[in-house]
Amino acid sequence: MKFVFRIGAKAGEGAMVTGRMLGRCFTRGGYNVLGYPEYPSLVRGGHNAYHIKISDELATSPSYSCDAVIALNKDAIFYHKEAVTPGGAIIYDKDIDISNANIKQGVKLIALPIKELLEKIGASPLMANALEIGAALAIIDYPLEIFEEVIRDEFSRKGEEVVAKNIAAAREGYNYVKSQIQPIKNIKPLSDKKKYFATGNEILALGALKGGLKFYAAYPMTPASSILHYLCEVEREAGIVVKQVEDEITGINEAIGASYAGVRAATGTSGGGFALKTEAIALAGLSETPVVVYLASRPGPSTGMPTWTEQGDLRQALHAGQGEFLRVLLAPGDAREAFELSAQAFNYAEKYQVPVIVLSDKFLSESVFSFEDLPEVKIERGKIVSNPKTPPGTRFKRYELTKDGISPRTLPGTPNGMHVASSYEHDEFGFSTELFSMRKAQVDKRNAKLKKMLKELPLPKIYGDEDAEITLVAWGSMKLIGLEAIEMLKKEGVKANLVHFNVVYPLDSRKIRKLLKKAKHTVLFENNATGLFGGLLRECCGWKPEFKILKYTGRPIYAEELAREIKRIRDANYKAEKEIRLLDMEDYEYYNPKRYNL
Amino acid sequence: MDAKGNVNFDVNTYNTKEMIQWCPGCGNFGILTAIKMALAELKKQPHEVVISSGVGCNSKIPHYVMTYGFEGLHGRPVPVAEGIKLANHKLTVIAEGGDGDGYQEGIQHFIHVMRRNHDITYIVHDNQLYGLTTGQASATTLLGTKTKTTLHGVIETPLNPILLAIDNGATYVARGFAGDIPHLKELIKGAIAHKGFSLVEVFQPCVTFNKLNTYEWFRERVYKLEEAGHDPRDKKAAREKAEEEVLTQYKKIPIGLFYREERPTYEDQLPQIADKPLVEKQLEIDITPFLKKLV
Repeated sequence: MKFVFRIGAKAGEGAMVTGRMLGRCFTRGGYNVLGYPEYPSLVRGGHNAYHIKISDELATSPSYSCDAVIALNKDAIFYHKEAVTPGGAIIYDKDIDISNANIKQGVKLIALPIKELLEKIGASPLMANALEIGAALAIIDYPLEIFEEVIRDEFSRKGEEVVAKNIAAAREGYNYVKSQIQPIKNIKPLSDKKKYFATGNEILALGALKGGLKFYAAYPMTPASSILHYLCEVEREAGIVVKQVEDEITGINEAIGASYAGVRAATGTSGGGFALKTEAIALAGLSETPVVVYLASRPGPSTGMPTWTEQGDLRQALHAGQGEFLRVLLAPGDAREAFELSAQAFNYAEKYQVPVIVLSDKFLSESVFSFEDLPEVKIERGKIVSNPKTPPGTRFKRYELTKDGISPRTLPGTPNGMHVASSYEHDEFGFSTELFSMRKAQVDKRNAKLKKMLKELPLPKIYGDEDAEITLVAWGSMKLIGLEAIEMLKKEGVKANLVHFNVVYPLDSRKIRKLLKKAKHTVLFENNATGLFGGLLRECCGWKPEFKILKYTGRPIYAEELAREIKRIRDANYKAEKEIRLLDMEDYEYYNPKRYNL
Repeated sequence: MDAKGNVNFDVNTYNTKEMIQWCPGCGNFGILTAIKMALAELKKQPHEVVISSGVGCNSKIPHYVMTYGFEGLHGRPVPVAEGIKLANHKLTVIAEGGDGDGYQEGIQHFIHVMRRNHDITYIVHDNQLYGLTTGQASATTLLGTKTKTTLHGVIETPLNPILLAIDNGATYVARGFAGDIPHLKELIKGAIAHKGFSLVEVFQPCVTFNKLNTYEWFRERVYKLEEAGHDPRDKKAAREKAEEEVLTQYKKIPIGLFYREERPTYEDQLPQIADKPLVEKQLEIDITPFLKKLV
């Protein structure tokens, strides 16, 4: 079973809050839910949309079709009416004129007298959202009590009256719809096991807390800002320090300073902000200071499309910083991985004394995911010496030449551990050197970490049938899309599986080649224009996919278009074009509704 | 250190074996000695002090003082110092910069760290040009000065770091002269002891590239605010003193403590680190209360 709502509104009218609350009604009933927000880079004006997908199977990809639209303004009807499947419904404010809307046959129209219903119970216009959610639940006959509980949890801090009025509004909406139509579907809670419902960024932040994050310094930038917002919300309770700083350069330099002083520290940003952090990433590389950087991508280059999604920053993350140095690039594929890898990032950073970059994108960072539990992550700090035996008056060998390339660290405050961590090439004590043999020895030492790193970092995972006819290859957030596409293909009798990379660098060439060798037909799909990860796989593993499916319109690839293209390739007996560039099935923009005379 | 492990603090406590790489006669030698003397007089344990520097002639200083040190990026000693202080506010944190490294490349950090009032001492080695890159003009090079990049003389008005600091929330604003070590030592001592952000701007003659602002040039012009009866709690007077050099066309240049005020530090205002510094906190925390809110 899958059911999709779309909520459409003017920016600032509450589509985001409404969407998240509606989603929570279903995660509390044991469903898998995806909340997927879309909005233009505007504070006022423009159109906002919120997709809520509910399923007892997977709910991880947005869809072009939906079962019900909740239209909070006239624009919403224009933007979403084509998406509603026959048998579906559009709930809208009765004051919206739909006479010229040309609604499809078989779509039920439910005009809500919002103003009158709210006036009747003396509720403010702000409570329209609760009324609409009540109405939405009525069309699928879902118990209103669950929503009433959500209202209580959401508004109790605003006082009993606000709670009571919202519940009354929800009931008005619910009862009104019930009195007008038969439900278009009957959806009942699956269980009373409540699932969690959180954005990718909230989960990344929780992972960081689990991983021992104590200091976060960042400059706001969409779509990374909500990591900063969430950490600000919990900083006192969690006993950490979160700081909004003057620019992205400051963010990473403060994190490096804090990490040098012994706490787990991170910064986060998007593409342009990351570019500013580049020099300091190389500083972390040479001074071997652990640091974690969250990079939530949006379509570039430059300012690009700030509120949309793309996997376009892989090479930026891989090559950020002058010179050659090791780093780890993690690209979680879903909620659990976002949590686990975000926590592990701090282990990797400290154990290997390297920068670790956690890649996400707007789709993963800002979508809302349901999950039941989260994995355990153990904290491992690597080589920290608390009682060094350095003779008084001499320096601690911070950059001691060791076999595994990892030198013991001392933290400021530790007696006899004094050393200088340096951005210059240095000798074992951290003192600047230009002696050729020492330069070579230090470069070799830093690079030697790779061996141990490759042993520890997880390999790509295979999802679906081992003996599939088609193997999809993806990284990062595209796991969410791949999994649902495989599910769809299976229903059509196509056996496909997915090889998903959540560590995108470094790559273990031998093991990855072995793993990919088993595949019969291969399709790499990426949310970018040039297949960046495909290039990296070719470079590191000498592997090339048979087909590439790419999308770079600003939206994620949708599972249905991925499944459609794979089926087409298969139906053509694998004689299709080698590179497929997707264009969305609906083509409009939210930025400027006026272009549609709205 | 004696046999019992007690440290007898003197300048030698902070000596290192590293060869000093400044030009003979460089103003940095005076600053180095003054820092070591100040640390000794304050009886600072070497392992409880961290010096953060960037890139420039001044930035080599962490190597020459036996404390912890971080030699980071050009223009960025201040944010690294802020991070260190927030991670472990028990440490004595000193940032070292230059007029290129502090008043140009990283000037945004200078402005914002003053607003925050972190308990950090910022020592700026001001030689009024770029030394390590062989003598280009900086933000404090005087009008008309000819350098490699200002062949026809500087046409940009020099930055006034003292005035900027007084007006922008620094709680300890001082200026010393590398040619007067005992006086400079007192200013640095005061800065380290001061709870809040302190700026110690230091005239540091560059004997190789700066043929104008020499030791002699300064000696003829500087006078001590302490001896002139200046009250550092008087903000208006501090501003006037900060402008004196320009108004007198550099005939009279005051050094000493211009301004001082008490204001809560950034660290003081964070209840989450009131009990202990971040670095002493347990890494494992229970995230269940946060998760519960996400149902």
